[in-house]
Amino acid sequence: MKTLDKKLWRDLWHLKGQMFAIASVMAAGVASFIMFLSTLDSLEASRSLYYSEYRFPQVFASVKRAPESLKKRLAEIPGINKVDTRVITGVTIDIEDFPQPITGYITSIPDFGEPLLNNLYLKSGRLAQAGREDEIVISDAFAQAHQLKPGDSLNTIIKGLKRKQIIVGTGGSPEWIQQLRPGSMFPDYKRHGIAWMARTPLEHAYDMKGAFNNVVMTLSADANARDVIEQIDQLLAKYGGTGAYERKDHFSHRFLEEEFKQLDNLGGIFPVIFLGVAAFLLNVVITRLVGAQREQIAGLKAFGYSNLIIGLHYFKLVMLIAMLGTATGLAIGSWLARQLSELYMTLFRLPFLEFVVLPEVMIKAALVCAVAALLGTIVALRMVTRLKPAEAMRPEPPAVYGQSMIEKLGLKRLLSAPTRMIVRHLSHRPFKSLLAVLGIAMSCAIVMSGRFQEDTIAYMVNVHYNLERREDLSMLFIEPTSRSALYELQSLPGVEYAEAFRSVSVRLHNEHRSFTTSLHGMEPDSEISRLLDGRLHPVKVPAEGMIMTGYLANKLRLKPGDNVTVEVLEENQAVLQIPLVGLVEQYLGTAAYMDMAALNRALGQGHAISGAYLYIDPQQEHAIFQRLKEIPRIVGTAARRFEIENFHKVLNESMMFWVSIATVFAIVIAVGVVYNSARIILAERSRELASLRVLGFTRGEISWILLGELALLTLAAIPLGLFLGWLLCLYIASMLQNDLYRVPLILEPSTYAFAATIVIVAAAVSALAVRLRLDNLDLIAVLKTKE
Amino acid sequence: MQVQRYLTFIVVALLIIAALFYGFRPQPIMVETAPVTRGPLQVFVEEEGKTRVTDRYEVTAPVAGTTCRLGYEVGDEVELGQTLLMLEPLQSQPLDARSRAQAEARVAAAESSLRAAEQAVKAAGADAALAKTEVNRIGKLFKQGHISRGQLDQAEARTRSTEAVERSATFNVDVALHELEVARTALKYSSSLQTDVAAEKVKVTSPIDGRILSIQHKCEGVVQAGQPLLEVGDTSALEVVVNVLSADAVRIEPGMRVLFEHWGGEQTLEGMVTTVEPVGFTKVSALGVEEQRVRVIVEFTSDPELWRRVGDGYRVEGKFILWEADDVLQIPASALFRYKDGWAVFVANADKAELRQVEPGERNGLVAGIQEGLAENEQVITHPDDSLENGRSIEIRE
Amino acid sequence: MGTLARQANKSSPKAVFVAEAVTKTYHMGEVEVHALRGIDLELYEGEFVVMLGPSGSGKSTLLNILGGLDVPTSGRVHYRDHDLTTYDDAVLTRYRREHVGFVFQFYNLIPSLTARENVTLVTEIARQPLNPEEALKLVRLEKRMDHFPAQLSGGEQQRVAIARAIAKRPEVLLCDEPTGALDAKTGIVVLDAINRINRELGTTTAIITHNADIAQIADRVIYLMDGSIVRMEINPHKKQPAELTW
Repeated sequence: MKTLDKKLWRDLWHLKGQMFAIASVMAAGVASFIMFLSTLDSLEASRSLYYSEYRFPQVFASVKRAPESLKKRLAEIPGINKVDTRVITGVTIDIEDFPQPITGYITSIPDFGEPLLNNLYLKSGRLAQAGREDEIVISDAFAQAHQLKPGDSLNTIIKGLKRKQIIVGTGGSPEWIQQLRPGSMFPDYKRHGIAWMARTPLEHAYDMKGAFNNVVMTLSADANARDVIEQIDQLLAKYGGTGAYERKDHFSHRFLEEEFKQLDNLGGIFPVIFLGVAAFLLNVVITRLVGAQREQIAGLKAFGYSNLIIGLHYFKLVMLIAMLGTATGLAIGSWLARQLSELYMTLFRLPFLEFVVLPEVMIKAALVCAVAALLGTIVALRMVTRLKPAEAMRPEPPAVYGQSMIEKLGLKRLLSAPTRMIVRHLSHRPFKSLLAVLGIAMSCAIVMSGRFQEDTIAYMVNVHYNLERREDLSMLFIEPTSRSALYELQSLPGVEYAEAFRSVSVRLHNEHRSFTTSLHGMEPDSEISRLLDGRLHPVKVPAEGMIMTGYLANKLRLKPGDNVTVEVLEENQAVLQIPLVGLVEQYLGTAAYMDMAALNRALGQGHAISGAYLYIDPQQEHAIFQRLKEIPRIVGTAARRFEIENFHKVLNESMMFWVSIATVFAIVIAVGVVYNSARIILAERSRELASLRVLGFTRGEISWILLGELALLTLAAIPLGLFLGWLLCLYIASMLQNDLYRVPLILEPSTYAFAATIVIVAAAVSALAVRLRLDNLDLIAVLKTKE
Repeated sequence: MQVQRYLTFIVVALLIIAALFYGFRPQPIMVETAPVTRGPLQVFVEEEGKTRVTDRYEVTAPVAGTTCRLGYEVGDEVELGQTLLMLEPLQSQPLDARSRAQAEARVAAAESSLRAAEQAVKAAGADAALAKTEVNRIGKLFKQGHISRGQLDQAEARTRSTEAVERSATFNVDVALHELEVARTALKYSSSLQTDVAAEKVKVTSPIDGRILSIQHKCEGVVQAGQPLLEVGDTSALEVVVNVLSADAVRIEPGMRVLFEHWGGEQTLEGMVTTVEPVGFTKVSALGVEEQRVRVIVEFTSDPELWRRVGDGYRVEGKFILWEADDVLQIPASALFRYKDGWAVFVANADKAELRQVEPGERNGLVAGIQEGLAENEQVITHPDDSLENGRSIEIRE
Repeated sequence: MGTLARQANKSSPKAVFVAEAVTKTYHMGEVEVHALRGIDLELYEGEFVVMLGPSGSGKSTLLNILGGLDVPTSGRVHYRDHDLTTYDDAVLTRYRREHVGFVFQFYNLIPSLTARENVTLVTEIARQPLNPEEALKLVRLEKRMDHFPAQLSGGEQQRVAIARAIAKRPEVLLCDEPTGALDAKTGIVVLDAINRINRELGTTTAIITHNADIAQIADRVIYLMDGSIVRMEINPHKKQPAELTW
């Protein structure tokens, strides 16, 4: 066996270029597998640990205002383990030298000591205590964005009262892993801050003495969550309870879950593509090798080497390549997983990253790679064992060529002889040529998938901020307010126009299905905020009835004309029947819309408004920000232009990563396929090409035969690749449909052009590399060998 | 053959490069446009207001007694002299001298009020007549172009307010008459000494033509003399009281046109500012801010049939027209943006965006008048995107 | 033919191979070829046999069948007590490993292994092999043991092939056109090596050639034509390879 192994190594070395190319493609497959799944594992592990160490609750509920004494009755509900009541309020934050509006939430923590549930992890400093009324802990993301540290101060404006607060600590808690401002797609840590204050001072500030507006609980092991929630709702109903929910409906938790699902899905597709291409390449190369070594194999068999040993020999060759690919892939994949995990850390604020590359994942990756390698070469390996020595020593009959399709169509005269050779060679083994085209096409598709996210998110943001919501500023009131507030806002200097909206939390029911969302009342001729139909044309909100996004209608199995049961979760807790009269298209959020007056009428309220959108004179921006901060009932001021800026910033950071990886991987595939195809064409046809040289053809002319075939393959692959890319992106987009957002399939022409360019360049470079070999073709030696 | 092959090669290569360039070129930006139009433009201030019946009267019990159940509802129409309810006077007690003197004094006071009211009617009549002649005179001068519109408006306003005063004065006369009756009834009943005479039921009548605005005492029961029973008012004399921010109030003048919307009916009602009170008052606004407000009174100028159903204390939204013109070149305000020292818009020229400086005129929230820089029917780009530049290719969204 | 066999039996040389009514048909591309049409043959221990015939006469096919590389379409082949036609692939492999040495026209060396390694390849799986160096010495290639086939001349390559074949001390040596690709002088060297091995080691040797002159060094010459044996001759005075001229 020893000497046979020597042959193995020497053969491997001889084919090092091709083997390296194939191993690279395998490495890409393994790396992508590791990258997605290890990131997923790491984030899940980190989150699990975070949840358990910092006591993330299992049941959550909000109320308008309930007395603290209710806590005891909650605790008595069977199935409930621990109960913790808190006060949570929206807040406007004012930082010196930062004129832009900052929104945020403050959650209460006990006057002394740690919270029972949702404990804070502290990155620096300590918890706020009740002794000093003005102590505050802020999220480390916010602290970082504004370069604040314990000892610094900021102002909070609660119910119109501005108070100076001293930062005593920075950190986070498991319920605030996701710190997006409601309605945004990306975190804006500069303009949205999460903070914590001691209970008593917050109660005072928010006029909640002896009361709470938020309660969280853990359940005992055998509790039935639904039953418990029912009982909680009954108890909390008269205090304005909006419905208790479990972890899976918690906004922060849900947000992470969606991301995890995506990682899982992506981790399924891409490795398959890469390893598929690798398997194909390996098939071609090994089949070729076995074909070329036919007589050697025959000789070995003649000398008594069993099929098993000879088969094992080639099997070892395949496995060595697979191992090389796997090892490289594991290393690169782990590194990439680390980078990706850290990228995610900006999206989610986890206090620590338990970065793991689980052995199971590595083993799975290795196995999948090995299986792919085997599948690709199983036919060749069988050929080895099946080879009858006597047959092997007969010369191979000349390959069967025929007239190609083009020639049959009578276009023979258009092609010169070398071109005819190319075309016939391509059509001689149509399946192999097709697979090569497919391989290159996959490379093109992968580049497109890397840029797809960028195109589509840019589009979604454009639709949302330029077509749907065109306000300069948006703001919320602490409570529904009289309509005259709108005129007040309009009369502020610098405000050019103001439009109101009314928003109320509801649970929509259709038969047994329900969905919790908000019902928006809009002005009948709304100019600032608009609804769009499927073709993005503005839709007027109907005078009667509601409209909603198609996704939500689908979820509830509603169609226009049906009656929707609306359970109002705030205020009077009425249950209304409102007909669905139309559908709109929305990429972000899943809300329902109505005419504002009709909504107020249905709620039995006069002319209340929940917030407003403003157009302002940009030169008076600062003054207006200042003024707004001083208005007690306004909370949650956001400026569109900062949101767009922020979006661009975050997008650039994360998209860089994806585009680079996809491009690199795609180049690996393109080079792998083209290089291998080139080497094989060269090997298969070196005799012919050498003969042509002997006959007097120049180097350039025979290059054309070699490169021409590659060029044709690449050119055929590009339209196919653009189509496959479109399909791949369609698949990815179809996975990104959930309650939080729906991703449309948008691909800019520049993405198509970019993908095509990458493929052309990669193919050209590898082709040229092989062309160099061609130039060094030793004519005589080639002609002398039998094959 | 060589040339031919190179030729195909070059042609194919060029085609590919052309395709790539086409793919990479910057895409035209999707924009929405609106035409530059000519038409009326209004600059206005909006505020919420409440209707108020100018002339109201509180109907009280003339004497102590037992009432029967009131058969009317709020909103019912009543006529002058119509019996509203019957009152069974209590067994009268002999009035002592002091009470009697009081009752007599009341009658005397009512008589003198009546005389004063009659005087007031005369005076108001004279004022109204004067205002009428003035408005005719000024109207002629205006037609001849000697006088500004504003002055005509003021004259018209005077006419209205004097008419209103006259109406009120007339009303007050009716009221005074009624008061006198009541005082006399009270005296009559209180001064009767015969205890065995069956007391007549007293009719409580309406002093005016109008509607019942509110009811204070509906059921059967005992009432004291002077206790309020119900309120009637002349709803045909309805005005709107709007508490306007003092900063806006300075821009409002008597005579200005006011449009009322969202009052429950379909049509927009029109009104005219009659008074802008000179003294402001402090009020905490809906948003929780302390503000200085000024009361502005507006009278309906629309056909009364249209607002017949509007009652007392109804909420209306008022638009005070501070400035209006009929033939203003205008564009959506969202197309304007600040540019250097002035303003500019993007004009959609075929498929390119053209930056053009303009001089805006008056503007309200959504529409801006243009004085210079644009011609009618040109298309301007509304809500111009950050990435727009002069010369950038655009695609107009339908 | 049967007479000859009985005669041979009497004078004691044992029959190493006995072929009875062997036919072989195979397909080459789209063509059907009748390579052997009923062959009866015996080969005796220590014999040096040359099979002569023009191309397409079936010589290679016969050799392959004797060597267990191919199975006849019909008929029987015995090697000593073994009926090769009943053997499956695995057993034939063992048969080849233990008893047969092959030399092919186009050498079939492993180009990525040196001369010595090519021989070692075979000695590793043999039971009582010669030392690879010894085998190469036998063919006078001890000075070129570590060269790759690409660095050796045709004759040298063929000699490596021979060394490889004999290194495992096979009982039978089958050579298919061993000198076919060589010039006269080199061919003689190669034949000389084969001859020595037949003489010194007593290996039953069969050589296929189309060159009639070579037949002069054999004990017996078998003439094949169109898949049948047409003649068999015994060489009374066989020459030494060095004495050959062609």
